Amino acid sequence: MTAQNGSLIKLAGVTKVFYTEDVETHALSGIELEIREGDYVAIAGPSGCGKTTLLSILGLLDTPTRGEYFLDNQPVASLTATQRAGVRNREIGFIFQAFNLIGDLTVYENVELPLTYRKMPSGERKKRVMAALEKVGMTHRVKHYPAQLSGGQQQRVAVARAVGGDPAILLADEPTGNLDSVNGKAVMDLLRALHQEGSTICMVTHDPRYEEYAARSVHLFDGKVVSEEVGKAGAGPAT
Amino acid sequence: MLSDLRHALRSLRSNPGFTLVVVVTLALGIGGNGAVFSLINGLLLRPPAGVAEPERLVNIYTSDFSSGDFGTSSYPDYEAMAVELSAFEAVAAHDVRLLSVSTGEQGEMLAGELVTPNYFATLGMAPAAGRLIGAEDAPAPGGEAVAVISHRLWATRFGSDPAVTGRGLRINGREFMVIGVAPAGFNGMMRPIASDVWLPITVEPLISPGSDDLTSMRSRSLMVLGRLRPGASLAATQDQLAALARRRFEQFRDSWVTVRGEGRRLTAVPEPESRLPPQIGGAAVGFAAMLMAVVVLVLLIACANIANLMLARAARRRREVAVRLSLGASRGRLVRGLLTESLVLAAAGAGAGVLVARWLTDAILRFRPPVAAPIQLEAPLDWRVVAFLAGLAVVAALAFGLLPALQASRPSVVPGLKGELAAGRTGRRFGPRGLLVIGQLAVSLLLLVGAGLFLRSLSRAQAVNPGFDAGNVVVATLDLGSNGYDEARGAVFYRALLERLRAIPGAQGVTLASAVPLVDCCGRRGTRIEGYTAREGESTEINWNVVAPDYFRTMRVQVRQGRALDERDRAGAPLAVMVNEVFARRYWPGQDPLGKRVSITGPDGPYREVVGIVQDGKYRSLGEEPLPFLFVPLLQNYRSSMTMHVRAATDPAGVLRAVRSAVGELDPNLPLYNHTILTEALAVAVLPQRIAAMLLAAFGGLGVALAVLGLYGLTAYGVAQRTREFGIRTALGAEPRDIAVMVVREGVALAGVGLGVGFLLAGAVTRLATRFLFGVSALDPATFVTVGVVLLGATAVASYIPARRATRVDPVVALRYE
Ligand SMILES: Nc1ncnc2c1ncn2[C@@H]1O[C@H](COP(=O)(O)OP(=O)(O)OP(=O)(O)O)[C@@H](O)[C@H]1O
Ligand SMILES: [Mg+2]
Repeated sequence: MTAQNGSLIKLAGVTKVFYTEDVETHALSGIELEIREGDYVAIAGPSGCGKTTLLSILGLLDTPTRGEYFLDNQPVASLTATQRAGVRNREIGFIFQAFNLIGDLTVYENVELPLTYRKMPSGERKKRVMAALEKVGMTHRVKHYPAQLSGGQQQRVAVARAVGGDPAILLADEPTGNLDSVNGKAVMDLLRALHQEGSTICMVTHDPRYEEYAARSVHLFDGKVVSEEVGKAGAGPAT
Repeated sequence: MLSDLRHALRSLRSNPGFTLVVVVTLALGIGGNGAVFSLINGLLLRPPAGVAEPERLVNIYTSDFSSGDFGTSSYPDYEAMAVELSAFEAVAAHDVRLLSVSTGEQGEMLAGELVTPNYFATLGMAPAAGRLIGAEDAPAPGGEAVAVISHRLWATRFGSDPAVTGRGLRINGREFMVIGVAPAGFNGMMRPIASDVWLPITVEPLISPGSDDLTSMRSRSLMVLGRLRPGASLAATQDQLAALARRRFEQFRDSWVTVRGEGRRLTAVPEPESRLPPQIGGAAVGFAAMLMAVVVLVLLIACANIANLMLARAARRRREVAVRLSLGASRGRLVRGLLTESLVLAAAGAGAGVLVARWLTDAILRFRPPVAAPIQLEAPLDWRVVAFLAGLAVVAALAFGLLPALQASRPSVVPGLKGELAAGRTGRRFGPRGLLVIGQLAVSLLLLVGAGLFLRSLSRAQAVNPGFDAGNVVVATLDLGSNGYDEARGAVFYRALLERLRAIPGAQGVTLASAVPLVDCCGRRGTRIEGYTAREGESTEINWNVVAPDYFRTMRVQVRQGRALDERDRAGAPLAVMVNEVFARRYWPGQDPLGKRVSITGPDGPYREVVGIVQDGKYRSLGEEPLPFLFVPLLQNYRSSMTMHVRAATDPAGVLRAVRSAVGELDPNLPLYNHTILTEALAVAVLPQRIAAMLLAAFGGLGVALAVLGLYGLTAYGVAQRTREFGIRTALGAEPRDIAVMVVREGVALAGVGLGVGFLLAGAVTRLATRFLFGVSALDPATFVTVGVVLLGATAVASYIPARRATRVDPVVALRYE
C-alpha cells in the first residue's frame, strides 16, 4: 500500500473513443482525475455521460484511447493482459449494478473466487471469505446459491467478494441500481462502514441521495469533468 | 395435423443450416443401417426368387464328420428319401458344380446345378422362356442333353433372344441344348453361390467321366430339398427322418456308420433358416449381427447429436414456447408440433439415407471375394428394406425429438417470459445435453475399441508364420475333367504343362497342387497309420494335399528330415508320402518317422512309405492349432483338378499372364479359374477381420466425429451462454489461462465420464466379438488405453476451441447491465 493519503490513482488527459460503423463516440475526453488513498469518490452525471466507461478504465477492464493512467504511481498502459488480470485481482474490488454473482457457485464460492485466482492456499482463503461475509452479515447463507437470495442479499455477497481480497480500491457502478430504497440504503451504509474502516471507494451513482455518502463528487457531462465538490461526508475517512 | 406439418415445414425452411446438418447427419446414420440391412436382407431374409410358398420348403441333411448334422447326401440315399418320406409332397435334389460353359467363343467357369427331374416342380417355378427340366428330361442313353439357363446368362450370352430354346451350349466339352430360361433373379438354391445353368442330374457321367456320384452311397454331394404337404408340420417329418436313418444304418452299415460307431442322422431345416449353409450360417448371422449393432450404434450417436442441436434450439425458442403456452396452447399440442418437425426431418434424412445406402452397398458389392465359386451378393431395395428404413426413421425421430420436445414444452419455462436478471443455476454440466454427449462418447469409444481390436487382429495375423512363402507366387486352377480329359490324357497334359511353365521367363519355381493352403484347403482323408491305434471315437481323418514335384522348393517349405517328393515318386515306383512334424510327433512319438507307412485308402492299403518330414504350417486358418498333414505325389495319385503354383522372380502379374497363355497354347478351351497372386488370395483369410476393422474404423470415426462435434457444440453453446460469467471472472482477476483451463477441464470432465462409461460398455461387449478376433484379447489393454488417450485428446481439442473464445470475452460486459 502507498503511504497514507498518497496518490492511488491518477488520470491525465484520458480520452476514450468508441468506433462503431463510421460513428465515433467520444465517451470520455481529457479526463483529469486523482484519487487518494482513503478517498470516497462519487461519480455522477446523466445517462450516457461516460461514467461506466470511466469506471471500466479505472478498473483496467478497458484501455483509454489517449492519455495516461497511473496506478500506485505506475503507468498501466504497458501491462500485458495477464499482468492486468493480476492487478485487477489484487488491487481492485468490483461491485456491479447487476450484482454479477455466478449462478453455479455458492455464496462461499463466489466470495472465494478472486482469491482462487491468486493461488492462495485454501486455509487462508477460508479465513478471508468468512471475515468478508462477516462484514456484510451474510455468514448464515454460505451454502446458498445466488438464485436463493434476495437482491439486497446478493449485493451484500458481491460486496463481500469485492473486499475479500483486501483491494486498494473498491469500484462500484450503481451498486443500488437494482435495489429498492431500503436495500439500497443498507448497501450504502455498508460502503460507508467500509470507508470508515479505511477502504478507498469510487462509486458511480446518479442518485443525489447516495452521492452525499461520498466525501467528494465528480460530475461528468458529455465525457468531461464539469465540476467537483466536497460532499457532506467531506471530513474524509474516520480515523 | 396438417397445420402442424405446415408449421414444421415453415420452421425448418427458416433454419436451413440446422435442417441441412440434421438431414446430413441422419442420412449418414440411416444410410449405414440401410446398407447393412439390405445386405443382410439379400443374404438371409429375401426368399429365393420365383419359388412358390418357400415356407413349405425344407432342406434335408445327412450328418457327416466335418459338417456335423448338416452334411450333404448321396444319390442312393436321396432316392430312398424321395420314396419313403411321405410327409413331403415332393423331395428333390441338386448338386452345385463349377462348370466350363461356352456359347461358341471362350469358355467361362460358372456355377451350375445338377438337378433331379422334379427340382423345378418342387420349387413351384415357372419358366421365363421355354420350359424347365421335367421328368421327360431323364435322357435315354444317347438322347440329347438339355440345359436350363439363368435369366442373367440369357441376357448376357443370348441377348434375351426369345427364340433361345433349341440353341446349343458347350458345358465341360459336351453339347447341351437350351430348353428354357429360369425366372429372373433365380440363382439356384445354394446361396451365396449364383448358378447360371441347370442340368438333369442324369448327365453327371457325361460332364464328370468316371464319377460314381449317382451310384455310390459313399459319395455324398447332394443337397436334398423337400416340400412339405400343405398343413404338414416339420415335427412330423422328424419321426420319418429318424426312422429312415435307422433303416439305412441297419441296411447299409458300411456307409451309414460314423467314426463313433453310431448311425448317421437325417435333419430337416426349414428353407428360411438354412438359406446359407448351416455350418457357415451361424458365423454369418453373428457377423451380420455385429455389423448391424455397429450401424445402430452410429445411428444412436447421430440421434444424440441431433437431440443436442434440438435442445439448444429449444432453449433459444423458450420465449416462443412460453408465449404459446400462455396463449392457451396445451402441452400435448406443443409436443405434437415439435414431434412433427422431428418426423419431417427424419423422413428427409431417411430419403437421403436411401441414397447413402445405395452408394454404400454398390461400393461393397463391387468388391468380389477371390473365391472359386461365383459369389452373388445382392442387396435389392425391396419392401423389407423400405419398411425397415421407414421404421428406423420413426424410431430415430422419437429418439432425437421426444426429449427436446418435452424439455421445450415444460411449463416451468414460463419464466422465460420475464427477462432474466438473477443468475440462475444452469446445471449445464450434466443436464440432458451433457448426458447425450456422455452417451455419444461412450458409444464411440466402444466402436473405436472394436476397430482397434480388429486392426490388432490383422497385424497379429500378418505376423503369423504360415510355414510357406506366399510372396510373388502366382496360382491358377484348371479342371481337366471339365474338358473331358481322362487320367491317361491328363497325366500327359500335366507333364507338358509343367514343361511349358518352367520355360516362362522369370519363373523361379513351378509346381501343381490340389489345395492352396489358407485359400482353398484341404481335402481330408480317413487315414490308417501303421503302428498307431486310434482311441475310441478318435478321428484319424487327416488334411492332405496332392502335389507335383518341386512343391516344397517352390513354396519354400523346409524339409526337416528325409527328402522331398520328386520325379522318382511316379506311377509304378514304391508309393511315397510326406508328413509334417506334428503328424510325426503325434502318431510316432519318440520314433523315427522315416520308413513308417500310412494308408489313405482303407485298412487294405495300399500303404505308402514316409520319405520325408516337412516343417509345420498353417493350412486351414491362421489361428488353427498345429494340424497333422499329409502330402501325396500327383504322379501316384491322379487328380483332374489342380492348381498351378509358379514363383515369379520379380513380376508376378507378368508371370500370371504368361501362365494363362501357356495353358491356352496347350488347350485353348480349358478355362482357368482362381487365377491370382497368392498374397492377394491370402488376404481372404483375414477378410472378416478386414471388413470388421474397415467398417468399425469408418463408422467409429464417424461416431467420434459426431460425438466430438456434439461436445464442441455443447461447449461452444455453454461458452456463448456464459459470456457474462467469463466477463465477471475476468474482471475479478482471472487470467486467460484460468478461463481456458476451466472450460477445457469441464469439457474433459464430461468426456472422462463418457469414456468411463464407454470402457465399462466395451469391457462388457467386446467379448461377443471374440470369435472374430485373432491373437488379441477382447480386453486388450493397449487398444483400450490407446483409444482412450486418442478420444480424450480429441475432446480436449474440441473444448479448447470454445475455451479460446471464452478467454477473449471482453470483461467490460460485466459492467454493462442488459
Ligand atoms: N462498447 C461501446 N461501443 C460504442 N459506444 C459505447 C460503448 N460503450 C459505451 N458507449 C457509448 O459511450 C457513451 C458513454 O457510455 P457509458 O456507458 O459510459 O455511460 P454511462 O454514463 O455509464 O450511462 P448510464 O448512466 O446510462 O449507465 C455512451 O454514449 C455509450 O453509448
Ligand atoms: Mg453506466
